[in-house]
Amino acid sequence: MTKYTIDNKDKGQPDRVKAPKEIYKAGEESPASRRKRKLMPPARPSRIPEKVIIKAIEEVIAQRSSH
Amino acid sequence: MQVTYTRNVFLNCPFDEVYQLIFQAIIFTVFDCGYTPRCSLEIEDSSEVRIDKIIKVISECKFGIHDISRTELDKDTNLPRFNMPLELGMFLGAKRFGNDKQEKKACLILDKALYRFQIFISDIAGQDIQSHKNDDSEVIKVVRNWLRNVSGRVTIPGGKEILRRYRLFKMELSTLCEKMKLEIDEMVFNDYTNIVFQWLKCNP
Repeated sequence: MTKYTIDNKDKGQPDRVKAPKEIYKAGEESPASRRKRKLMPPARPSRIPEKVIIKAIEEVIAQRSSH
Repeated sequence: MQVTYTRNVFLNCPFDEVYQLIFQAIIFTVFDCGYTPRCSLEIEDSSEVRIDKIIKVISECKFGIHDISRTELDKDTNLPRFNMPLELGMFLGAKRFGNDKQEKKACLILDKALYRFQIFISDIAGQDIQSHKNDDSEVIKVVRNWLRNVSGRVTIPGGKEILRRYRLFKMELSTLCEKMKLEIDEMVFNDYTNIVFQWLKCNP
């Protein structure tokens, strides 16, 4: 039995997986809060091609890590 | 064009050079929170009537950020600009008189000082009005906290983390523009939004 399941054998039912609020106390970080947000794209394209923007960003990141 | 009503944030802000510091910080924060910033600047088709563009964008956004801080008189005309209060009124009107979807609209009203609005637009008392103190770090915090509260999304990063990423992005922006052969002052809204989006994708 782990802290994530509830033993329901005495009720003649299978073990139940606990809801996050049953596992994590108030104020404690739950896996949900560590989930990454999904970025939403801009409504319209730029005049600059996407691949040009990405290439420039990758070059700047490479410069950043070489310093 | 992708229309996702619940993930769109309408930006009703001044577009002048002085305001760019705040405007760019708001756009970055909205993206980093997982939303798409929208405004009338995104439509470059000059054949469309301006008010029609604004109505269309407002109707496609569940959320709205309205900055009413620009109350100064124009240096040339000696008259104030009324566009921001007008667009705020349109957004509130859509929420009040619109269909079920439009009724779910939520907005944040920004000014440079708290309670200053009571002097020039007291009818909006009772709305969510906050101050950005003309400071980019403050506006990042305010916009992030508001989006976190109205959306209830637990995946929105903390204000300090967004500010850290924004500082790094701003530091690299001039080099990025240089590599793309783009002058910073030639960068239009759609250029800036696409650069921010791609930068965040590469710097998760």
